[in-house]
Amino acid sequence: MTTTSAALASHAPPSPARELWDDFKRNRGAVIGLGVLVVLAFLAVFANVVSPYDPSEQFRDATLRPPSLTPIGGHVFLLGTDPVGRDVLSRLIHGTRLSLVIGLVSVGLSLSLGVPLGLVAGFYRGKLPETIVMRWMDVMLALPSLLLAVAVVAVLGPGLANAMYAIAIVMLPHFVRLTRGAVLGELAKDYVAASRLAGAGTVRLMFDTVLPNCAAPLIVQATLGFSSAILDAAALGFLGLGAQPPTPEWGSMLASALEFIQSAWWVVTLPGLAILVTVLAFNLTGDGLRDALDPKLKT
Amino acid sequence: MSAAPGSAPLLEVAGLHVEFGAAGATLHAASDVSFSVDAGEVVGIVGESGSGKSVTALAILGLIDAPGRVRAERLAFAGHDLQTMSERDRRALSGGEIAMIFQDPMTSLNPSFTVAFQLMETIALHEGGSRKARRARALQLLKDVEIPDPERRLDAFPHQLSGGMSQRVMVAMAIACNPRLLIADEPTTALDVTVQAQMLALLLRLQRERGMALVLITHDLGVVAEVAQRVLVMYAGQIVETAAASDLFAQPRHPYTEALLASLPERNAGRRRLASLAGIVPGVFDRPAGCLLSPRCPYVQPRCRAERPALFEVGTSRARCFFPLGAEPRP
Repeated sequence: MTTTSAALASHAPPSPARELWDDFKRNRGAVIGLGVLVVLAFLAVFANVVSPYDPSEQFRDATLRPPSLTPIGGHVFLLGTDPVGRDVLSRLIHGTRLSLVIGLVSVGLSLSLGVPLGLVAGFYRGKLPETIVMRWMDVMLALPSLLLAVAVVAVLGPGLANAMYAIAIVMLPHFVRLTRGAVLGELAKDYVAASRLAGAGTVRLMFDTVLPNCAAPLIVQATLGFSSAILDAAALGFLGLGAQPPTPEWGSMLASALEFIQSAWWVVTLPGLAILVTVLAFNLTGDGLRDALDPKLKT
Repeated sequence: MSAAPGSAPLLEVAGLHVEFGAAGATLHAASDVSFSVDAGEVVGIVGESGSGKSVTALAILGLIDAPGRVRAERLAFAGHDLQTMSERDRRALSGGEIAMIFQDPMTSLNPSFTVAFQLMETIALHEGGSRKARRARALQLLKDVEIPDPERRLDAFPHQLSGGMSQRVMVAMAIACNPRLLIADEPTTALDVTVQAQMLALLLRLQRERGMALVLITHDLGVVAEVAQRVLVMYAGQIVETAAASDLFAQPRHPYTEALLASLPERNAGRRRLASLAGIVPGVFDRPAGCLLSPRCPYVQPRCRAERPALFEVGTSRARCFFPLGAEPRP
């Protein structure tokens, strides 16, 4: 008997976090994406320490230098310099911090508004609150996202903070619809009725009973939302509506170097690559999370 | 509390109507349902799918949402009128004194939380106590419902339990606050046959030990025969017959009850085909003018097609039929 109980104990189900990790690491792309994100997060946090120069410092005798290891006037510009002599590498590293903050703030804002709205729409299905919320979201979805973001920034005025609000507003309908859909699926289940029967009020049902069960799609959407937030912020920066110079934001770096695309490839290509790699990493991680969190795809 | 304890029935339902859909296409999910349950009594509600059994239970518990409409002449629990009390009081009452077990054990537990968490939440709400005391109480409840290896099950998530075990956890949650009335909505439907028998035995043991009233909703007459003292037979939202369990099986008064009994496999031993009642329960658009069973009734008379019968006294039973079986026709 002791051997059987020992065998049983060793086959005890893994903890949820452990199970998630086991499922996640089966997807190699997702692990690579996560690795890139960890590196990016490290660069963002320690940007001041890691980057060789201040992102706004101008080296007047070294404008538009190509990437090289040879020192110019005692300075090495690993990824070259931009038209006003700023180190591209330092600007990219500081841009990482900005991009991650943009993603974090706009996804956070969008989640904290979208989830309650989605819960209300789901719980008051067929009643006035749902109609108001969902038709409003339909109107927002009918506008192209960048156009809407541009319109919002035009109203609020250009600037990084306003760009983040604009992106949060643009992403809002996705979170609302996703939350509502997940809520409707959960509300049909008996445990919700059981909870109501046990005396739970609407607010408790929303946040304690139903919301934790809607977490999986929301986590995935939030991760993917990060990448679209970074892309949108870069687009707004490129249009001059987001971060203002001399902020080292990737999109505005692209915009300010546009005229040199023929003569100095690095000032345009490198910020573009940074955007590409970051967005790709978020998308890969998001896909991996979706596979790991979606019970329907589990074997 | 107008009446002295024990004299008034625990649950009184009179003239309960539950309707869905717009005027003109109204679905009468339950119409004119009246019954009562005494403290410590076991009442079975039987009927085929769509006969209004579950809807009746949900209406009693206040779980029918708009656009569904519920009205009743009287809906009272232990002398408290459920219809006039505030939503808040009603929730407190139904959470503590009335409990319900649902049909599908796999969706009845919240998948995000462990068994211990869910049990302790219920206990905290109605009894309180320290974390440790609540955990001990949760463990005791799992032992009460005969879950094997209860210490380990405490920290299991619902998806790590089998259907039978989930159902037992549901029962444990239901009895956590010592309810006086337990409504079990087809508690054995989703389980396999051997587990069904254990489940029924468990429910009955808990009912006896705790003196709870038990309302057992099922479409299995065999189950009712085993456990219930009184039986309500429902058809198309109406009660068509109510009788003591022994009377019902000895002498069904309503043709529908007779047909239900005749379709039991035990009564068909040696025959090639199971006896069955042709046709289906009438829906929204094909509700007959007369008796609701008239399109399917083997004994149908012209009067049945024209008039809708009330629930008449027939011997010790009550049946909704002009021509009750084994008795004189109604004038």
